[in-house]
Amino acid sequence: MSAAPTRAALATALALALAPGAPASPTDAGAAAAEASRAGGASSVDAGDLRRAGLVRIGDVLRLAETWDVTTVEGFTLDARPPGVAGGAGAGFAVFVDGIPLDLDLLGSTSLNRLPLSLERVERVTFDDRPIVVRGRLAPGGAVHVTTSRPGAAVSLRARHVSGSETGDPGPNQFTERATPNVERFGFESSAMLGVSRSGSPPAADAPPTPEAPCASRFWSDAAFVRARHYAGDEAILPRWVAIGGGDFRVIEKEAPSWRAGWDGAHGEVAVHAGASAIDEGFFLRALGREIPVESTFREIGAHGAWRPRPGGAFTLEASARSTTNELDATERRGAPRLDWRRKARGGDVAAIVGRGGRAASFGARVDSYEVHSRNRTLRARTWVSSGVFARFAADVASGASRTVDLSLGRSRGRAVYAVGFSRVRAGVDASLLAARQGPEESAPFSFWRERGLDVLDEAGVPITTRGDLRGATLLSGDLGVTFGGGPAHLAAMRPGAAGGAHRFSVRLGVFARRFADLSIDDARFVADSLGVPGAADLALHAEEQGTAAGGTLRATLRLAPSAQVRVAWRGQDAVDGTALFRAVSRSTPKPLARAALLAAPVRELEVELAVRARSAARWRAYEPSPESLDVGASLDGANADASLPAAAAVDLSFSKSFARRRLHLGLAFRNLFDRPARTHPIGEIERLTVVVQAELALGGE
Amino acid sequence: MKRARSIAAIARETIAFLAVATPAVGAAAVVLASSSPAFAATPEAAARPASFETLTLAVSGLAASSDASIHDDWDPGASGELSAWTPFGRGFLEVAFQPFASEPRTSDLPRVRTLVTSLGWGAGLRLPAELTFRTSARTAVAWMLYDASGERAAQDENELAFGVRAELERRVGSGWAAHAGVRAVRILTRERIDLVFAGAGVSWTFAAPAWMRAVLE
Repeated sequence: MSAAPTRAALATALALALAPGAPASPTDAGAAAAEASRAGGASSVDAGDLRRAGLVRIGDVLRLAETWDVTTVEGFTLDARPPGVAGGAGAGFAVFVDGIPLDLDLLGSTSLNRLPLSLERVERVTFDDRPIVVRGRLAPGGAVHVTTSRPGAAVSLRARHVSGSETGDPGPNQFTERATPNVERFGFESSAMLGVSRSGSPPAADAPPTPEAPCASRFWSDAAFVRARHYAGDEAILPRWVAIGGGDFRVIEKEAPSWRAGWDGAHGEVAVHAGASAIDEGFFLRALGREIPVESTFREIGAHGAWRPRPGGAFTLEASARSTTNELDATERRGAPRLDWRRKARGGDVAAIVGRGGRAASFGARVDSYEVHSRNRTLRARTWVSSGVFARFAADVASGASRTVDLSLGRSRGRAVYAVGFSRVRAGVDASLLAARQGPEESAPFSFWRERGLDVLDEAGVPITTRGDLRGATLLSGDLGVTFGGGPAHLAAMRPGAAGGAHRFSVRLGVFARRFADLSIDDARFVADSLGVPGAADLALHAEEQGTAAGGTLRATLRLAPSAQVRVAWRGQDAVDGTALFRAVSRSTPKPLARAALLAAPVRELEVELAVRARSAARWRAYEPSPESLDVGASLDGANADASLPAAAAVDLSFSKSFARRRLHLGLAFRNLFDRPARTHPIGEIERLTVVVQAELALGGE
Repeated sequence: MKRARSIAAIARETIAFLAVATPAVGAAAVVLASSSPAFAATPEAAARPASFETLTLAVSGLAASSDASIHDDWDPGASGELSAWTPFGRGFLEVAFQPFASEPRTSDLPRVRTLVTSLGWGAGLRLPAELTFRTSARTAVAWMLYDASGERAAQDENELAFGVRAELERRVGSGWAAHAGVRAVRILTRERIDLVFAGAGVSWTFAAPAWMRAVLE
């Protein structure tokens, strides 16, 4: 065996041993992890996909998770559910930026827009459909892995502005009897990043890099700032927002500075990062069934490092530490109920990785501490610690196949938690199994904190009953997939304009099942008042719910010509077993949803995408029809505000063109080209034809 | 039984989706795949100028069609258009600026001055007698200014619009051509505004400056 394949296998083994939370070399390991996991049903999008899609903010990347069910109330915060996860049942997805877990959860809501990150810095986003274990931490609702770029030139500057506009303004009709309300622009985002990089001398100036002495040392740093605005001006939600928060409660504003610095060398690397975001928004409290005007802040600071005693050797030691603070404060805007909530999470882990001969193993320990404050309330159990040990074994990576085993044992607030996972990829067949148990504060955060004194709903006059003993949820999941035609490498080669590609198509057929037990599910009835403001008539917190969701996925890519390809993604799922409440809330997730897209590069540096997306009807149990809501629905141009959302389909068309050797990029995208009104939440915005224009400037390389 | 019904529902909805998606994606695939090098290698394609090789500037005089109106309340008058286009792929890329003013038909309404800025892509078809039929589809923004009237202050507003252009063009000299044709624009206000203009003009084609080609390429 030659040395090169052995080293390649070792690199892949290390990536698998760490994946997907590999801080040692986030870009390389993240890509390797993405490829490794993609064979198991995950999908990823690169910077080109992000530019072409006409996304406004970082949170909008969820729209590209083809098999995830994405819903939104006001168009700013997107809620996403990977296959097998039903609305209101189970936890949300986990978020990793360059392999670092960032705690974004706020009472069960995970908003990517809280990240102090703009899209021009994103190199790749991978959506992990399955429950996974990352460095001993369970992500039962899948994960979103964001890989960012690092400055490569001595000085680099990136700037981006994107603006979206909905059609349907009255125009001169406003002076006539045909006057209709003005439609606000739905928002913009402006961002800028300045980066510096300085390389040291290589070990020997005339010697090429080798695995033993891969490169010279390098220092890099960048600082960025993001400013965004979104108008909740949709006629379906504006009257409610004004009724809740007053006349000026329609503008969501975000400001987010961030800074990073790092040093890479032959023996390892170290990096520090810090960032914050402040968003003036309406926080949708699911248990209340409506928004609360809040100032929402997020702060994070952390560091990670890797040390290799021998460059290119078999042993790597890694460590990371971070602190995040999530806060909701309704007092500034005098929002009701007076929600004030601050959750600080500090965590760290250390891992030793050994890789040899296509096999790799990592062993580590983690500790996370949590601290919750609520100024207006007395909470019990405000602090707790979760700790544990973990191990991952990976084998057979040299042959392109892999076997991985994950073990994680720990204690959270004195209770045992565990996760055991196994996955296998071989000859186009991938399979994975996972069994896990969470703590109640993780699987049912609202119910947990309601038990411990969070009385915002009591204060709002909502009677609450609790049924069953609150426990941590247990999960048993299984995935099986078969891939024909080619894997991730072939998919990359099939991109329009890319050279080569041995296969003209790639198809993956998959099935999955998720078995939940001891779930806590909110059961509520929301009745809208005359202004369309829903109120929780009563709320029952049901613990000890259980059920099984199962379904299938299809992902296919067909290369039509060197300059054109077609992609199709489909997901079907249903609750096949379980309690009546579990089945009921599962109906809020469309059984089938699908997307088909034609991607073409007819001219150099120009990409065109035409996509059709569709979702079946869904039934939202919590939102019972009422005369008032039906009135609201009747005034919404045919869309309805009752518990049933009809099936919907839309066509998107986008153009993406680069100029001046890719220093300037312009994009134009139309969403819902045929202007068919559709909504994804019973009291959410009504999507209409929207145009998104973006410009991006990149000076200096990466 | 419930499960069987559920599976049947999923199958029905999936078939319905594929029935809608397949023709749409397929038709677009044929159009876009025709841009592949295999199609571009035809003799006709070889005679086409390369992308951004030339630049054409055009000026046109336009008049709204006789029955044009904005919902019977405004009367669009004469208009003009300044445009520029350059070869791009199998067709051409264009930008256009078309201002016009719409006079109110009743005194309580303001005059509406509109500037339609367009970005379009189209293609030309060579005909006998040095004629070329040129057509394009446009995406536009209509910038509308409402004059002050009575106690009402001036206001402005903008809205997305789509348009098409169809013209017959004839060479009249080295680099010069005359053209006549129509333009239609739909402004996507809540009550759509549809307008049709007809007119004629001249255009001048010249080699694009090197700096401009460098930037565009």
